[in-house]
Amino acid sequence: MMILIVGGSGCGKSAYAEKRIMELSHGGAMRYYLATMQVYGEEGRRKVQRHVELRRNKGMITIEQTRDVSEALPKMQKGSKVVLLEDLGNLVANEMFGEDGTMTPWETAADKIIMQLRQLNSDLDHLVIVTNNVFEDGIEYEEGTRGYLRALGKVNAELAGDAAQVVEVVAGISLMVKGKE
Amino acid sequence: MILWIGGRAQGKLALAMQKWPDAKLLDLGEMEANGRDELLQFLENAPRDEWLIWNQFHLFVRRALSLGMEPSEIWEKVASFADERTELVVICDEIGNGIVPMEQEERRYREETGRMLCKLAVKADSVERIFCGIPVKIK
Repeated sequence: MMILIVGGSGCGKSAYAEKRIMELSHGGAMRYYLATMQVYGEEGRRKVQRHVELRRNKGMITIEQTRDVSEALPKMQKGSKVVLLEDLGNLVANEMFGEDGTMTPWETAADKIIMQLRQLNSDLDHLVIVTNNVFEDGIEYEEGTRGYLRALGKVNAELAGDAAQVVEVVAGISLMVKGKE
Repeated sequence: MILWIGGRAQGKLALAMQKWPDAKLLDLGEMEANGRDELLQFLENAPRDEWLIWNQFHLFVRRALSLGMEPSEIWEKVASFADERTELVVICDEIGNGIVPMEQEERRYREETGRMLCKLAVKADSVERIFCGIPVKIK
């Protein structure tokens, strides 16, 4: 089953996603955390290390996969597994904007991510995906960011179509947009 | 305590004033405190025994952060403020649904306001989302 969790900055979506992944793995499935954020600098590294350890205490193994999410599968053990992927906002940015300054067209990046996540989902017991609502600030951005918004919007919409549940988190409150909890 | 959230200009305050016409209004965004102590003094002076609408909560968080207060300290003040009152409506703009800003200060403002809202929502007796002037109860 795929669950898509959507929300803005500091809305409590991560805590909610973690709660769901713990429930979904009650049967003893291995728990993985797919971290898509690109880590910069010593301070960022330290912060991430702390989170990795916090999750390890909850029996969750962290895999850093800033792009090409389908490559995460061979890094997991065989057998039952549930995956929490956080988050699509970072994944889309990493797929679109190369470190060398190159830019992949938004639709190419979006389609690749959608395809790879569908593939990944078919090999898992459950996939919980955290994504971002970044669409409501009314600012007219330059072309690169506009493309990014379209890409993330497309990925969100396509995956919401696949997902058994779509949940919006507002002020820590979960609202079922699709499906039943 | 009642928590109302929603986008800018969705008619939150107008609706609240209609619902609680005798309520006092507290708006720390408009009061332009000169420093941390003055900001906290505004909180201290707010009425306790009558209905109070705390408008533009997000601007209070913004101001408090810009005056160098730590999120934990801001929350401590907010929590005790809410605990001291039952007839309180907190109104806050939804500010977290945009492209994450490059500037650390702006990022922090959105993130911390969001976190503060999560905690306020736990405390609140009810939470409503105002959309086009229409309240939708989510708790």
